[in-house]
Amino acid sequence: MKLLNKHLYCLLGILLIAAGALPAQEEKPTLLMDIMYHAENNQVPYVHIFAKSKIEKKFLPAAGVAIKIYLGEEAAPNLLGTVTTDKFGQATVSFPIAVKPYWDTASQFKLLATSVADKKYASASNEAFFTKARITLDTLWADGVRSVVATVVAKQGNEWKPVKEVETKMIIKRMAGNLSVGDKETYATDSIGQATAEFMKTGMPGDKEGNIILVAKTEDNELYGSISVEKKVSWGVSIAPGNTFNKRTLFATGGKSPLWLLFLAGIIALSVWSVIIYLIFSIIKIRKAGLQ
Amino acid sequence: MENSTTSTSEQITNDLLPRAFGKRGMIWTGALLVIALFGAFAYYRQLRYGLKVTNMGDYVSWGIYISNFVFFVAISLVGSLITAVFRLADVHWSTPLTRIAEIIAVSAIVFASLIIIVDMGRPERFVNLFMHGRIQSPILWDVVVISTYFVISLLLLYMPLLPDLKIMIGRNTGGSKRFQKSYRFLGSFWKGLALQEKLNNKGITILCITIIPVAFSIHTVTSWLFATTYRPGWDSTNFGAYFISGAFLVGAGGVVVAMYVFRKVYQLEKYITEIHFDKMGKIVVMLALLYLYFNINEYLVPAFKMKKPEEAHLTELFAGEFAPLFWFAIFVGMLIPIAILLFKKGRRPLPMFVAGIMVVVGAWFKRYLIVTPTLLHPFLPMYNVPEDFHHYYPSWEEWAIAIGSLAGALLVITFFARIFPIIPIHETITEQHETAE
Repeated sequence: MKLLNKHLYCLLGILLIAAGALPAQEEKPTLLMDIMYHAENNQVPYVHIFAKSKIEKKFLPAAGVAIKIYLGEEAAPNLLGTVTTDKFGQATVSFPIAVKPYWDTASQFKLLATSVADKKYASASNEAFFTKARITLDTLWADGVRSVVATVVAKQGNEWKPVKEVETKMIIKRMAGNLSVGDKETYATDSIGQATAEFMKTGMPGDKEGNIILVAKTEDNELYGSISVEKKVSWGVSIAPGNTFNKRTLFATGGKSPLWLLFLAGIIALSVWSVIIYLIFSIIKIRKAGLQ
Repeated sequence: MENSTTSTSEQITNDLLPRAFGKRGMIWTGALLVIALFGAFAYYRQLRYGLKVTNMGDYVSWGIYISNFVFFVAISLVGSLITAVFRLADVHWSTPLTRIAEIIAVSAIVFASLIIIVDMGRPERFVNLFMHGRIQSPILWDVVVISTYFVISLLLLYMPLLPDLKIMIGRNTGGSKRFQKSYRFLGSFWKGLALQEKLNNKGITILCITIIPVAFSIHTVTSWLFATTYRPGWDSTNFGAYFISGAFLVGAGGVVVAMYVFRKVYQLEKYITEIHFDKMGKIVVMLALLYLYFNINEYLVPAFKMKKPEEAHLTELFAGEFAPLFWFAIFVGMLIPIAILLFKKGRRPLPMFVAGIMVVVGAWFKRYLIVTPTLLHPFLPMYNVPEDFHHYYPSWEEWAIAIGSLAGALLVITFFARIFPIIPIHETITEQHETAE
């Protein structure tokens, strides 16, 4: 028996060594897909996908992956579109007109993303459930204080009902980012679906009429996705940016050179060349005097 | 007294008339012709195959062509120094040197213009500078000011030559009949009338006044081609004065070399005396000290601050790839000539000639150091570019064209000296008479 066990251990050892020596069957990394629903300022909703994979304990963006996105179940009529992720693993698809009949009646909906196996990744799918919601933005003027009011309503059956405890951001849209209107990052809605923020950013530079754009939005909300609304208000300071395009400047085209430069250069060139012409006439005079 | 004056005049005329080339002259001219023709062949290759025959690229887009251009513009400034400044200051000892200075100026400015066209790669596009030029661009200012300076220098060469042309008509200048035809065409109308003298002298004075600001402009504008570009090594408010001081130095060095050669070849010891060398030596040492002062300003101030983008550029100059060339230009182009010329013995013809050569050679490399290292050190790091983009070694075509253009400029001076008197005859006679009186 001992001898048999000894042989069995030897056999097991050999098999393990052989298995280690064989070329390892490389396992494809698992593809993970984050799905987010966006509805911005009453425009056509869209879906944003972020595909990534875990390689050597790091999440890395999965570029060049073809992903099919469905509104509801995996069926051709529900297809929103097929997208390919960019180098950051991201892709976006807008809702096509074909899903409008379904979309108009839906209150809760499912987004499904699927990908087939390719050279780099195994096949994958993920789904996310959202409730259709709307956000509106209003302004208040009371006791000399300006406030911004955001109201969030969600569709329940055929009715839109206010929803509470939704974290909303109320911001001023700026060129390189956004600025909260008050002193908090987010404001939670109350029982009537409203969140109010005092407008504290007075003296904000606006356009030439003094307009600034206020935005109320939910960001990456698990139930309602990212929904937002914008409103233009004249609460800013009027700024008329100087536009030098196609004006007479040092960096314009030749035909648009500054008048002062044309004048200065012209005067200098004219003065020097007048002297040269005068001297050439002097030589002609010298010649004439000699030939007489 | 009358007879002795006439014989002196005759002697001066005979001494200063242009002469046929001797054996050495023929070898010199032949060698220059061969070098210039080889340069022309290299340029033919550049025209045929494009600028890819050069080693210029995305980063070093201004190579030795532009270094050569700056050198030519610099040396051309000597015309205004020797001729105009000295004439206006009523300095008479410089009379034998005026024509040497003016022909150096004319030939240099001609080749400065040509080398810019060479650098363009597509010469037929030169016309676009005028058709679509932007008055806001220093490049257009440079084109305008170079053309103006060329015309003024040509006039300043021609007007004082008028009395000499008359002297040469009918005299044996050792050349063919074509020479005489040229003299007649250019100056047969000169009779030495009071009106002619008056107009000519007035014209020369006006030219001398005009050429100084134009000469300053030409080199200042050339410096602005660099200084208006935001790059390490060029971002300086000092560049105009720095370039002008350098130009005066190389121009004076060029005159020293030329006066030694002409004195030796044409046996002009009576006219270009040791006094001339001594005085020119003092001028060169003063200009070298001035240029050294501007160099200290130009390098010490940024080196003291060592801003990050300047650091790589300055380190390369002081202790890196360009260090041998940099210290060569500083020592050979300035410090050693100063050390030689500070002493009276150093201001004798031969040491002066050696110092002059050093100044000119050092100045050429100095221009190369102004142009190329800066281009190799842009503000944005050079990532993911081929290895050869980090260095610049001119191709043989570039060397041939650059050296060919230098030979071409020397050829113009050589041919001029063969056809026309290199020392003004009429002025020398007049001054001799004034001294005798």
